[in-house]
Amino acid sequence: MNQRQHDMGGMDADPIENSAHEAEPWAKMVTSLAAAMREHDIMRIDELRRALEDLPSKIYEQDYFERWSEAMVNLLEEKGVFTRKEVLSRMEKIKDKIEGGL
Amino acid sequence: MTTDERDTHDHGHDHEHPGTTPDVNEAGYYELMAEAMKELLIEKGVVSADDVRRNLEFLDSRDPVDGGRVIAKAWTDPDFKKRLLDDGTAAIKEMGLTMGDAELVVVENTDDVHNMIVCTLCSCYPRTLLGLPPDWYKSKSYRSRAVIEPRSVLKEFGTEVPADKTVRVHDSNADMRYLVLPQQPDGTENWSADKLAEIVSRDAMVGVVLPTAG
Repeated sequence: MNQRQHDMGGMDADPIENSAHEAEPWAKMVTSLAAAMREHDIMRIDELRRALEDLPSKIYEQDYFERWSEAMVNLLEEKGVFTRKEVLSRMEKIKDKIEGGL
Repeated sequence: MTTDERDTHDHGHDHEHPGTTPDVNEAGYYELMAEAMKELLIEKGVVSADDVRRNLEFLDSRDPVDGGRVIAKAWTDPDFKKRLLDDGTAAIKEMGLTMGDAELVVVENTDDVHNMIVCTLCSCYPRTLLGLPPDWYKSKSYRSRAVIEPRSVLKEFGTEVPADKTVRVHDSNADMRYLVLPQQPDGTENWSADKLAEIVSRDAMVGVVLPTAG
C-alpha cells in the first residue's frame, strides 16, 4: 500500500540537520492568523492538516510555512472566506505599494 | 498518490488547481501572501486586528523556559510530579500555563526507559510550553526516521542510549502533545527550582538530548 505524502513514519531519509533558525516575521504572522481563526472556529487544526496533506507534492516539499500558507489559502477558499484570486491580486497591490514607497 | 494523478483529479469545483501559484521561489512571495491574507481576513471581519496582535504577542512570549519550569517543579515537588504524570494538562494550569486546545501527556525517563517525541504526520509539538518547533523537528529526516531507527537518530544528536535501556518513541498528534520528563542530572540535588529550570533545554524535553549539570 502506498503511504500518502505526509505519512512519513518509517520511510528512508537523510541524517538530521540540527539547524536552529528563528521563524521569520511573516511565518509568525501566518501562525498567528491560524491561531486567531481557531479561536473563532473559522478553521480547525485538523482541517488545516487535511489541507496540508492534500497539497501537490511539489508544494508539500517546500518550506514548512510556505506549505502552511498554501494550505490556508486553499482551505479558506474552500470555506468561501476568500478566493486565491483575491489573495493574489492583493499581493500585487501590496507589492506595488512597497515598490512605490521606495 | 502520484503527481500525474493529482494533475487530472477533480475537486468538483472549478477554481485553479489548489496550491499552484506561479513563481513560488520569487523573493518575498510568501511575505506578501501572509500580508494579503491578514488584510483580507481583517477587512472581511473574519478576525480583528486585535486578535492578530494578541496571538502574535502570545507566540512571541512562548519560550522553552516555561517547559523547563514545569520539569524543575516536577523534580523538586514529588506531589506535583505525580499530578503532572497523571494529567499534564491540568497540572500545568496550576502554574498558569496552558495547552490551548490540546492535551498534554508527560512521559518520564527512568533508569530503564528513555523517551523521545516526534510527529510523523505533521509537526505537532507542545508549543505553548516550548515555543515553535525547531526546523529539524519538522524535517522529513526526523519525521521518517525517529520511529524506525531512534537510536541512530539520537546518536546524531550526540545521545548514546545504552543497549539495555528501552527507547520509547511517542508519536504526537493535533489533540495530544507529549513532553519528556528527563531524569534530574547527578550533582543538582540541592539546586533551587529556578536554577534547575535553566538547565532543561528544549531538546531535552523532546528527548533527543539529556540535561547536564553544566
